[in-house]
Amino acid sequence: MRPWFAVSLIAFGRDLRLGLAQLRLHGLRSLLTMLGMVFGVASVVAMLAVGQGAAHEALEQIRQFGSEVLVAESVKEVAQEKKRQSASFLSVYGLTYADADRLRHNLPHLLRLVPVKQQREQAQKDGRLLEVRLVGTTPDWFDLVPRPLLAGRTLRPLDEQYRKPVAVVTEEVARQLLPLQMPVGQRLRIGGNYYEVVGVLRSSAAGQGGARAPDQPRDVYIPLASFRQNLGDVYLRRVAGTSVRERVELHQLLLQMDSEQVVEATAAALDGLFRRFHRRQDVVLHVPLTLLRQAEQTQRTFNLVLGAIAGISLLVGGIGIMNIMLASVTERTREIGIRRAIGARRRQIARQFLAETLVLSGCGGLLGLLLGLLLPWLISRLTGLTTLVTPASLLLALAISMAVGLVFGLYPALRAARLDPIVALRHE
Amino acid sequence: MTALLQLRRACRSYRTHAGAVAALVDIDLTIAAGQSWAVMGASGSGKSTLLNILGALDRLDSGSYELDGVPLTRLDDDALSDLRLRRFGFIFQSFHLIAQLDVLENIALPLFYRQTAPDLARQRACQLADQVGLADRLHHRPAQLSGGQQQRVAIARALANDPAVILADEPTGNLDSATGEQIMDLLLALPPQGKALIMVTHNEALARHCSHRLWLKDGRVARLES
Repeated sequence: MRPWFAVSLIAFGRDLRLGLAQLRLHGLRSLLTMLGMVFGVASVVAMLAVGQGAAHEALEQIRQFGSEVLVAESVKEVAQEKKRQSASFLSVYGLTYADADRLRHNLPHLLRLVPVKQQREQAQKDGRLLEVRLVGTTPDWFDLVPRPLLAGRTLRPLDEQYRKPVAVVTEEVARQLLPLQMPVGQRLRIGGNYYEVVGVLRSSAAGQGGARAPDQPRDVYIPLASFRQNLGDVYLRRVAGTSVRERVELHQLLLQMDSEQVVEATAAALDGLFRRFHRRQDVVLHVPLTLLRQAEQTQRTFNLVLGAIAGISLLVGGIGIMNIMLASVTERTREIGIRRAIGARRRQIARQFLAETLVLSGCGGLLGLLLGLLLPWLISRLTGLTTLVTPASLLLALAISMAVGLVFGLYPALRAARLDPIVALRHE
Repeated sequence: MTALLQLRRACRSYRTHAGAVAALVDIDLTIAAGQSWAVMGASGSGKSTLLNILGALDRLDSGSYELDGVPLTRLDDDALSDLRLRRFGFIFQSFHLIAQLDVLENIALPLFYRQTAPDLARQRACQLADQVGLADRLHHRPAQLSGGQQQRVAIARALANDPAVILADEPTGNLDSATGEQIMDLLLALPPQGKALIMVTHNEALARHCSHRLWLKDGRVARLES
């Protein structure tokens, strides 16, 4: 004697085969009925793929910047920006060297603190001109923003100590200004001073690093001490035809903490600190981790909305299937009567129609899966968006299609089972 | 003679728009294995209702019905289905085969519901098809068969689970007389094998071949011959 579940499994297998035969019998009708299901499942797969692709890309961008990094940035206060500006007016704002020292000595869990001064400057070499971002920083920069070194070396503590006129340039700067020479050892003129190129870095390609990446394609890195000595702390900025004099000690402070866990607490501490020492609010704090959290939140919302849309299309598909199954029950009333007269139990009739609905929705689900695999590929090809089809999303879509079949097949199946055999036999 | 089927004071009525209509009134009937019964009467006399009651498709309003001494009145729907599956075989006037199944599958349908192993079911269905003379039509659909052939399939199907009682509702009603007689020969071969045959018919000539003849009028037994 076989166990009962084996018996009912075999019986259900036969019902499924019968369902398949029924599906073949009404090929076009079945196909049309399945369409709703196909599109529902396809959109689930496709939308999950697009959503997951987008999330993946966003997270990659932010991760590249480092989730245990905080960035404090000098900004000009809005109120001050609006003031009448004259050439003689000097606006003073932003992070100070004192800030850097205070943080370096007082902040727990601080792994690295990288001060940054920056200025747009013209770089020249043999008559070639290129606008670059001149970045005055410390050797720690290259640990915080690790980029492959193509030639030479990065900045060293001694460069800083002796205020050496040395520079590390990005690949693009080297290509533009030193196309024919070996870059290392060449001298560039930047903002009235000469710097010897000691190293070439591969910069993060534009876009790949994202808008918030700390490095830019056309960067020239020099020791912070050299920057201060050669350019000072007062800058001339041209705004709408007039020039503005500004005094800014540091443009950025990059803080790398020793773990992700302390980032949010540190952010709160820094907020308090800046509120105390910068009453004019000329410093803003960027926390990539928070951005990451926001991105994840956005992703969740996105998934919810997409899920709702997919759910509606599956609902419509399911109702279509239920409709056709109800029609099928009516159409085959006499068959049901015959089966009942022969000795089929109500449950067996119900199971037959449920199996048929499952075959219908399952085939729809499989077709939808294929279409759902094709769609993200097309989207990637046409729009360049990153899409990511995960096995979990495929399984989910298939499970959903089966669940829809089960839910919407139940009522027609019960209706078939409840028919009175005598009445059903007389049905024309 | 032991009773296979026994009806006592059996009553069945239907509710219609015109009020309750009595289909069967106080029927007493005892049928033994090996007997063949012809049930006759005008339309509306209760023949079909009697057949449905005897075949466990319908229930009595009052009175009792026993199969092998076991009352059926209290059985639930599943138990009645099982009885139809194992103890009764139905044959209908319009054959009632399932159009999308072939001959073999139609014959094997009761075996399917009995969850017989597929290879065994196939073997038995082939044997039955051979018995009713359809060995060369195994994979034809009902629509590809003549009326007589379809009724043979129906007979084979009714015999699939080796039932004790064969119930036939005008089995030759849709057939010409020559074919009808062939079908009757098949059916009348069953009682000698120990099965009870109960057949509703209008054809007095065919009825004469049966061991018992019952006339119904307005739901009551009008005449009984044996």
